[in-house]
Amino acid sequence: MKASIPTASLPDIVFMLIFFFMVSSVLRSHEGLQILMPKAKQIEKLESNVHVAYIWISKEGLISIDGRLYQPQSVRSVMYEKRTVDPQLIVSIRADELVNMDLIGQIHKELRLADALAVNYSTRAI
Amino acid sequence: MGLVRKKVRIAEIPSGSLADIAFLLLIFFMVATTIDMDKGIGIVLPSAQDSEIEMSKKNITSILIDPRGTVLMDEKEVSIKDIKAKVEALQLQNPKMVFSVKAHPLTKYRTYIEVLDQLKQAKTRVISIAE
Repeated sequence: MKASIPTASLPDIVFMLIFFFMVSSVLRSHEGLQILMPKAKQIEKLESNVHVAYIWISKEGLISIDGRLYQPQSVRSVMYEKRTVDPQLIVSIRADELVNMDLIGQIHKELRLADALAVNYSTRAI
Repeated sequence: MGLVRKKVRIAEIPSGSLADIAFLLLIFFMVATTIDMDKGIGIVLPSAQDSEIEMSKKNITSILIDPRGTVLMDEKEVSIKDIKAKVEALQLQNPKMVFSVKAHPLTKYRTYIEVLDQLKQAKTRVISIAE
């Protein structure tokens, strides 16, 4: 008698794995502005992708959140709403390296008023 | 009389290599999906309600950045590359040292990030963003 492991159900198992990967991988296309992020060496990874809100700031001074443009002074209300929904929110600032610091300072102020205090400056690795 | 018995032919798609095909697909998806993690420099802003905390002047090192990208550390000009070493030395002298970064409104964000990067490389615990 030949002993053999039944392999008939192997494709089913593998297909199940495929479906798992297909469903769990999110193909997220970033909707934002065209920017060139500054470089840094000592960078850390964000722990989660879920509790993150992105603020895009282009070198022309445009501010975009979730694909919509905002004035600096309306960042507060947008972020406050996000913060209320998700208290663990981290704000990722994706700003162009040529943005002036007065705009970044304004965003800081808005974020502080919105009580969204955890901030991450998105950078490229050197 | 011999009735010719019809042979029943069973047509079958060979399924032996199905697993191989599925594995190939699986590996393709595993390779093609990038787990896109955001990377950057993390800081925590002070709360808006925070009243100003009194601090002894000797525990604060102020770092000023001007629009041309010149960095002043305690009123002395330093090049950005040297900040790390200076900060490490100051931290050895005084572990309670707080570094306060202040940038001119016309400073470029790039310079600011370079300075923060240096501070992070020196394992600074307390970075204060002054406005």
